[in-house]
Amino acid sequence: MALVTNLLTAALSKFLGEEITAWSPRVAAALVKAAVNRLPERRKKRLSEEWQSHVNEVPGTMAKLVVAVGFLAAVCKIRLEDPDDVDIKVSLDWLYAPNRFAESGRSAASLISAMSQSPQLSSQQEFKSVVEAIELHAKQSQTLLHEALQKADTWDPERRRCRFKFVDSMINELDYFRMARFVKPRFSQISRNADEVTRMTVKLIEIVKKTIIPNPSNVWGW
Amino acid sequence: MVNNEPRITTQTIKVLATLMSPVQEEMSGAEIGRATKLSSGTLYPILLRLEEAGWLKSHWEAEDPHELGRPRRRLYQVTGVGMRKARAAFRDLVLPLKEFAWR
Repeated sequence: MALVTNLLTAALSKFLGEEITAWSPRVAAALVKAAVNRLPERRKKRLSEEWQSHVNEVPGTMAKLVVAVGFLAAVCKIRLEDPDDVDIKVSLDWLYAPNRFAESGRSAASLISAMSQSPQLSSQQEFKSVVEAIELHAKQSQTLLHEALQKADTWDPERRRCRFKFVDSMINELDYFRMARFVKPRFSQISRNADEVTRMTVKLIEIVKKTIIPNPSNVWGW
Repeated sequence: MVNNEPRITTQTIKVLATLMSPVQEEMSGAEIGRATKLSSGTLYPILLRLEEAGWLKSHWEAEDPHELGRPRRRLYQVTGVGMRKARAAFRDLVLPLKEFAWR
């Protein structure tokens, strides 16, 4: 009985392996085609050929399929950033910006909190203005996020999937704030030295400004 | 006013660093993907974003796809502007944080 089971398992494994190998080029091609069909019109021609070429360059049956599936995820991000895609542009304004700012604001708040514990910093006008800007972002983010979530309830499932994938990706990209958290203990440790604190603060403010408020005029109409 | 500057993320830095390395002047998307270990879903939005901003330029390889027996590859390289701006971005974002954390 065991021998028969082993033989059947081996035969089935071989059969499935051959089937996957035989079908994978077609499946990969179909995935690329599906991804290209969802691209903005102006991107279709170029990326169709480029992505076929990419799949062609990748060795291995499964790896080709993984790459092809990845193109579907790429489409979500490309559509969200495409200035011609008016429909998706709405989601960029309503969803991407508030989510991003809310997350940035939370991460930055912990950093700023550590900085504000030092009395030497509270009098610096630049520092105050950054804190105020962050607080304003947090308030606006909350309002917009609330409205965005209400709006999203009326959306079709595909667009919601795109949105969540994109927001996930944005949160992953906020590595600088994760790095900044490592700075916090170091900052507290040496905050007794006023000169060093001032020098570090200036640099930190620059980082916070560049990272948290990258394109304020784009998003908030400032 | 529209700001066309790309976001500098860790993934973006990986792509730029790969293309700015002296090993290869031009690379296809698949080669960049292998070098950076970024998924295709992450890589292409970054490449397009950098190209739109003028930090990268790309062109099709010169050979005829019929002669090659495969689709043409699109080859990417960093522009002079991209090189300058990327270096400035690395300096502004990475070095100060490293200095704070490990000094």
